[in-house]
Amino acid sequence: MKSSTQFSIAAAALSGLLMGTAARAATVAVPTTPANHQSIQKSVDAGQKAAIKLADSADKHDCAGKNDCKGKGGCKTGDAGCKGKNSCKGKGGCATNK
Amino acid sequence: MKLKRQTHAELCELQRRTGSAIMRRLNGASRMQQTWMDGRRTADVVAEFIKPNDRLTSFDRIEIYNRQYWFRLIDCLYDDYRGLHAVLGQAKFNRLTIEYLDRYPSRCFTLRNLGSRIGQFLDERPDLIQPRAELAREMAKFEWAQVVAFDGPVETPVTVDDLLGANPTKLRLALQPYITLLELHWPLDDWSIALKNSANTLRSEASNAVESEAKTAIERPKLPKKKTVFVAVHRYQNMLYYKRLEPAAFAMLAALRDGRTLEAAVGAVMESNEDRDWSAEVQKWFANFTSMGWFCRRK
Repeated sequence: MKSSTQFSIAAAALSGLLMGTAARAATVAVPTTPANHQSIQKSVDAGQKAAIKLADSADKHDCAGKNDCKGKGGCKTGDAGCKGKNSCKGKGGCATNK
Repeated sequence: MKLKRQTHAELCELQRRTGSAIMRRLNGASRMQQTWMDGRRTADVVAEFIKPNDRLTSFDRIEIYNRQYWFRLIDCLYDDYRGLHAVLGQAKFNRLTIEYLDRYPSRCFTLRNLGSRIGQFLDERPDLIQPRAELAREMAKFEWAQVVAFDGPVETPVTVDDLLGANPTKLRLALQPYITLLELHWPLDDWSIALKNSANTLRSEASNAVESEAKTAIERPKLPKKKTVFVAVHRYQNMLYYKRLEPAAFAMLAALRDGRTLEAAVGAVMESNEDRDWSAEVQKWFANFTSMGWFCRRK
């Protein structure tokens, strides 16, 4: 009994995974307008935003908002190796404007 | 007159000695130490490789670099650990940073990693964080998670094709490397936001000092009261977020992160309450997590 219940919850999890990936794919495929951007934001519950906007804050990371080495790792240096080159956010190692 | 060409070995030695002088810990008055490692006067040692000028002695010249090196590192730690600073207070935080940098000097090209061993150091030196050792440790973990969330690498999220026809009893997923799951015994997410808002307000008030005379003083938020919360520290669309999780969702994500199959992970959910109908809830959680790209293929 427990096993079948567990399997049915796992199946529900899998269907949730498919729903989420499909929704995500749709947001990537459709050009973002201010209107649909807002509706996408509302449909995703990301939690509480840390109080300051990283891209706007005084202590922002060198690459914040420049966004082009996203996910590649190892970009930042204290001297802002990526500064103005638009490429380090999300790649790891982007340190802040210290 | 023909000058003697410096050899590579001599250049290396010059760099080593200069680096030693610059990176050496400051004294209690935040000045360069008067005595060198071998007991000689520092002024005599640095005069061997730094020339004086008409205004500064050799000691004065290198001391400028020695001090700015340390002030820079301390400032970097303050930027990344403002919450820990608030928990400990200025004096204890100062001592902690100096002891930490002495024990774990900067060894990486990127200052991003400077505070990566603070958690380990707090375990080694609980004497530096009394009487709030437990809170300080959690705050340090929470703040390091934010560094990771900000610029940790991202893997390609799972796609529909990865999932079609998947068997839940065999499917294993990984969490994005920039996500940290934390069980906190204080609501540090709320407190951090309050702290940042308070700091922003203080800065804003300071810049409008003439206008703000009549306004009441802004107090820093009091330390939080104990309350267990489950939080995922992550980023979404290049913004940093703290996402509260239900305990069951937290257990499930932790199980997936640790390599359990999808079916085994939902077993962790059922353990918390077998009588509840979890299907709709679990489906909703997964749809939300996946829409943020939280899951990727396990390598």
